[in-house]
Amino acid sequence: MIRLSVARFASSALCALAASLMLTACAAVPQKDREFLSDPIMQRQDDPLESGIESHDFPRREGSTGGNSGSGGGCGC
Amino acid sequence: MRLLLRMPVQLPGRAIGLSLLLSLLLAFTPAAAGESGSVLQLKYEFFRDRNRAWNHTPAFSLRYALQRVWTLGWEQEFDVVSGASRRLGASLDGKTQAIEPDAVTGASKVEARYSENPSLTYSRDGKTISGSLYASRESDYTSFSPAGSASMDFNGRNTTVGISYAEFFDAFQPKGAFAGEGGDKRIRTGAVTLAQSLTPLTLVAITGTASYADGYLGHPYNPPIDARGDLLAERVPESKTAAALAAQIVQGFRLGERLGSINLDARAYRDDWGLGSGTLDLKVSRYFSETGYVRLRARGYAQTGAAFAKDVYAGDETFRTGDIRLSRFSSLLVGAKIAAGFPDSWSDHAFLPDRWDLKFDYLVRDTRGDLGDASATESRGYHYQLYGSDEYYAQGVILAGLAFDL
Repeated sequence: MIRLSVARFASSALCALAASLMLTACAAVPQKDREFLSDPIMQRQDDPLESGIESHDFPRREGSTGGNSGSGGGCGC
Repeated sequence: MRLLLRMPVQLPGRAIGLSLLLSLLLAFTPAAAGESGSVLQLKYEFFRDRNRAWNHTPAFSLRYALQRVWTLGWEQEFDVVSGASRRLGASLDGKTQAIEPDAVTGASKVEARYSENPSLTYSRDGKTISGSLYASRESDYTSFSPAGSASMDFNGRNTTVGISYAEFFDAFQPKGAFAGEGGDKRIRTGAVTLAQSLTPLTLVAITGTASYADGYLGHPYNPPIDARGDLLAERVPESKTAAALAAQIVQGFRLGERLGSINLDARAYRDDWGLGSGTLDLKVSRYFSETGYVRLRARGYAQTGAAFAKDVYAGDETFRTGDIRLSRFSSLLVGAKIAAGFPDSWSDHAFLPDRWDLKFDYLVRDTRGDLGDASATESRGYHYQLYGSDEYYAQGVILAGLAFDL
């Protein structure tokens, strides 16, 4: 039952990805207007090293499962 | 697999030396090379929690442009942590600042872990391919992970599709009273990301992640207990399938002359152990000078426990665990970061950094159900927090960084 739930969840995720692709494919910002989009604070991660450290260390400090993308690389315990 | 698992164990000592030497050599690179796109970042993180456990983590990241299209990367972390593998919440641990090793686990009070992650990236005309090899080692755990990723921009570089895959070969060799338990663990994880620029100030992204793990997935240092407080052996399934979906929007704004941004990230996770979680992460940034900005952050997180996770077991359950990471809880994090550039005149000097940053995060963890019954407090010695049910567990993190354009 739980495995089915995960499969359904994964299927929903794939559908969401596909729908997003179709919905956004028409949007286009001209190159000359992309100045702000390349700014550090407009990036998905403004500091990759900070994000990397957090990805490794934060789940074990918080004691969480699934709250971060990190899935391996040491139990830190 | 045995060969693969043993290989990284030999690597870290040499790797650290090699990487430090490389960093020193690069530090002597003339400042005129500042336009090369090569960057060296140094970070130092200090963590302390309400139980007086602490963690020092120096780290660096090097991105060195070999040619126009090739970039060599190297990330290195070194952790020194107190309270490692202790039975969190044990009555004499932390609260009374006892310094003896945990009598049950025999695990060290202070433990070191180091990891390195070299990578090579090819990037040309909006297409990027990258490969990396991650390795980490601590006294009872080793991990080795080859990983690869690829992304492609199209639609006038407004749309990016990326895929990534990583395979972890981990080995857990518990110490102390649990020596002999543990084993090998293998994790395969893949992700697909779609990012889209919608307006000159709007970026959206959606990421789907799936992972499958098998092998030894337990954590014997936190054994489950029965109603009398006696220890039971941990038993968890030998495989786990998980999926996560994350959506993110970065919305820029102009307040006065300066650019600001709102970065909202939402994530949902499910696995076949019955655990689900949700994360909402909000970051608001704004420049206060040409190169300096402040960032405020608030993050909320909640997870259900695994279907078999309980505070107290009868002893006849198929699966049982005392691992706090599989129990139900919620947390709230608030934080602030400031980052800025040093004066332009500094760039004439090869040894001076170009940018700095400082971050502070404060996290409060509400472990619902913990210590809720005063009469049960004595027998529940394995919980995350050491404080009464009307109190809370909290921790703070300071992260300081310097960046050098090479």
